[in-house]
Amino acid sequence: MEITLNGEVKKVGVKNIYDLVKSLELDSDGVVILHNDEIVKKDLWQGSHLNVKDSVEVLYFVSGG
Amino acid sequence: MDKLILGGVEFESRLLTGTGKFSSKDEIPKMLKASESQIITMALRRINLNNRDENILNYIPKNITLLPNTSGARNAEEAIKIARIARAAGCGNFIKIEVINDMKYLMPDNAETIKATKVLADEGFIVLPYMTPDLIAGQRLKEAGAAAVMPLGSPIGSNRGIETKAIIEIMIENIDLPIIVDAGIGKPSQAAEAMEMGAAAVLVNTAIACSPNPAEMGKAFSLAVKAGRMAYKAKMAEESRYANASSPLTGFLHNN
Repeated sequence: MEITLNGEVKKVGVKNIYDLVKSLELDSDGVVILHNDEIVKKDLWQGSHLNVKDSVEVLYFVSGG
Repeated sequence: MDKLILGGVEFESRLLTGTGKFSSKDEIPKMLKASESQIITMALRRINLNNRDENILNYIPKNITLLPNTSGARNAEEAIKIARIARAAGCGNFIKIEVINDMKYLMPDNAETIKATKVLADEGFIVLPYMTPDLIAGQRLKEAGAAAVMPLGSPIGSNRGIETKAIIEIMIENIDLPIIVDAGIGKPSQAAEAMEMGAAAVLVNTAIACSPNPAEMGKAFSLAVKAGRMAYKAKMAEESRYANASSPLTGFLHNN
């Protein structure tokens, strides 16, 4: 299924946000997910199902002043 | 030293630091320890899935208060969105609002900053807005619910010191909130100057991070901030146009 992941169209073989984060091998601490522009808290990742053409933004904290 | 209180939270240190521009992130925890800074800024970005940078939170000890900024926001709406995302990530209630459209001097947009402050303060954030020095905008920020006001000393990363001194002095005198000088402080003497003026704290990033020895520079800033605060509390002697002798001018050598 194709979704837009951080602005790029990608084919993914996962069904929810939890599996997506896992498949990206991300350290889930401090990672924030926007699913179709809505913030999804970590405890809701498993229940957030992905549909074709959904947009997912994976954000985290970087250096800054 | 008297405590810094922001949004009801007490801090021993009056030096806020930033995580930007360090040549190695390993320097960050060393700098925090040496400088005794208790609040540090960071920014929120998209993860680059092809070239991953390490999560900055891994370098910040748990006892440090995180101050995410809204850098990248060009209006109030974007700043509000970034703040909500940062809180959802578990970074606590502190937020540094930074709304910038001017890419040459990185001067913050006060009108949009006031709007974002109002919305976020109402949502329970402890809002620290970065702003272009101005008395009325500072008062509006207070009315909007800011926990402090953070006027710039000179443009971000310029190391030029407190070029906006006269306005910041007026703000300190007339706004009943902690005034934190953020941006432009390039050396410890300038941090001491801000504290002598009565600033509640200073935020220093570039000047510490770009030193070849950030921990040592952090400590130097910490000492300067303490010295400046101590001098402010002890009340400095008045300036005068002419000399006032410190030694008795006894007249035994001359008769007149």
